[in-house]
Amino acid sequence: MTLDELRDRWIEERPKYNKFVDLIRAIIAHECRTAGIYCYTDGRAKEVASLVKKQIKNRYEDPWERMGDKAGVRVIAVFRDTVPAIEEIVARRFEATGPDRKAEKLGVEKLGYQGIHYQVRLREEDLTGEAEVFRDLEAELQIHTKAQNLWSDVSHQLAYKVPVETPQEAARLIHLVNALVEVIDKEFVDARTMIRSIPGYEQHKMLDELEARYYPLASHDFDRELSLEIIQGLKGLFQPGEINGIGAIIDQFVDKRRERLRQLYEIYRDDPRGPELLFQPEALLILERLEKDQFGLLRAWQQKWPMELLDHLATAWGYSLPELS
Amino acid sequence: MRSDLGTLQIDRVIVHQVFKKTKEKEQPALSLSGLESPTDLEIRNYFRERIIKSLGTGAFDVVEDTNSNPPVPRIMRSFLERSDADLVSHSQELAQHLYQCQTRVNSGGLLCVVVCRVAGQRSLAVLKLEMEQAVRLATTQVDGQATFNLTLMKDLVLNKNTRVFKVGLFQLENGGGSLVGLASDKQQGSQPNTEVAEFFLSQFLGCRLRDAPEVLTKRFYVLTEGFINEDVKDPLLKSQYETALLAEMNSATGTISPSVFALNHLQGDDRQAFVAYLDQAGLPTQGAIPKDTQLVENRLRRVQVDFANGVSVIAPPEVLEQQVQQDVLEDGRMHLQITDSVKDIRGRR
Repeated sequence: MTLDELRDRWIEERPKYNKFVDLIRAIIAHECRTAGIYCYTDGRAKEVASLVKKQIKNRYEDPWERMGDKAGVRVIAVFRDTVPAIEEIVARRFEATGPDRKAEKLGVEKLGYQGIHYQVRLREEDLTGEAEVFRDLEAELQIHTKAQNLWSDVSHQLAYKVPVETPQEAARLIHLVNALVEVIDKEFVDARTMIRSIPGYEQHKMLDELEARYYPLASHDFDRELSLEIIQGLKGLFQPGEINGIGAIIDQFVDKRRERLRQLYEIYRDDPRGPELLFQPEALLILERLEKDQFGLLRAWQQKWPMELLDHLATAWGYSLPELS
Repeated sequence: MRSDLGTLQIDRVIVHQVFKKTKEKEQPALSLSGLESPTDLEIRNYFRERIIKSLGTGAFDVVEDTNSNPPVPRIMRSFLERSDADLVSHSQELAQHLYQCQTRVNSGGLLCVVVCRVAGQRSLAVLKLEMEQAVRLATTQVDGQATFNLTLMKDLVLNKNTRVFKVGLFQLENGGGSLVGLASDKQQGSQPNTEVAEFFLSQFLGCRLRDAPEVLTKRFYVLTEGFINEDVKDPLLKSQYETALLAEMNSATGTISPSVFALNHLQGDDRQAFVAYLDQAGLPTQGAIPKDTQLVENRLRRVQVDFANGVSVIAPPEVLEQQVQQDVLEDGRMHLQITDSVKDIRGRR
């Protein structure tokens, strides 16, 4: 394949690769959100100039096959200890080759780039409908922490993009910063562990997630103390992994029942005798459990709070509670 | 419609008073309203919740009974077919028919006709209510001392604990076909095939149950046994659930509530799994199923033989007859011989 043929083919196929990248990013984002993993994704199909320059530099015999990073996706984890969980998602949701752990090549005495790289393709079961066109495509998927990503981007600009050779002193400074990157990642994980051990952290976190889904539906102020009390009493209805991903669970419920929720809030917006719990963010949690685990909800509720409160909300939602014996 | 009850919105209400029939010739029959009742948001939502609550727990799916020519479905269809139909005249016709249906046994009360929407579709709810009494308290001062003023209120209707409350909610099927709906009769002891329920459902509303009670009952029984056999792994729980199912079928109650059955007789995750199992099979789990065991009678029967030494043998009659060897000894004692593989041995009280 000549250089011109390579360029022309890439110009033609690059839009398809960009869509491929978008799909991979959407899969990763959904899976991470469901698992309660904070991360960002980034990605692109290689720029035409970049592809051509790489071939000029490396002179591959079969450049189309050899360049596995024509499409690249970067998964940027906020906390370093979530990287294994992200790797599990990659292994599960894609046909993945790897990992290539750059840190292992450094050993204990050297500092440098520590990303984890995979080559990924879509699984057979995902190659349906419009995704069928991505059958033969693969992308390079890199996993970094946010701090590693910062260092990687800046050092790349300094060391590879400048037209002159990097002076030794500058190179040393760049590597010193890398040491700080490792410290940043470790310290943030330690700080998060301390914060998470504060009593009530989980309830506050869940309330934050619920609040974010509540305010698009209603603008009434709510009783925060009541919210925390009810969340504390009901969080046992969820598995620990589900608590981390409570935002995604509520999103799924709200997406499914959006019109009905909108109607319910509109019906009761100006009614002072409406269900007391409706204009509390935990109403979304209660209604979601009513559909998914009504009996668990009933038993948990009966032990702590008057049934009339739950009954009023359930009735407004169109749900009849079986009477507890 | 049952699954859309949460989308119920109340638009307009009109109320007529229907008096009890007595031998007094001068007793008026009706006190008809000439105007819709003014309502505010609170009243409309209160009606909304009472209708949902009543229909959610004990309502049956009903259709108009085309075997007779009852007036109520015709009146309701006439109203629902036209968005500009006159509520006053149509509701007065319903009240007049209610009075004509009643005998001296039936209580007087109020007929509320409610124009509403379910899932955006124009609907009509018909409520028969009775007056109730309660005492109202108001603080007051008498000779400079604080006390409570007590007033007996005799004209209350539709409170949270209202025991006598009949409601039907109707739409035109697929937006323009025959009349379909939900009907509930909260009178204590109500069963769909008793005289009381017969009055409201059949004589007044001119409707019948959409699904034959014996068919629904059999579906519940078969599906529940299917769940127990397929999805319950613990043999002890299998036995407990099967016993509970038989007890439920043999009990004197006139209805089966799948969610109440699950709550009272199943354990842990089995409850939700059972409700999901029935939902997937298309059997309503909210509300009640009218019970009629005629199609499953044979499966419910058990014969129990109690021996003087404390041993009891329980078996379906056909098994006892065909698979248990029974001999009467010369001294009058009975000898039973059972040969089979043991499924389970357990202690019990």
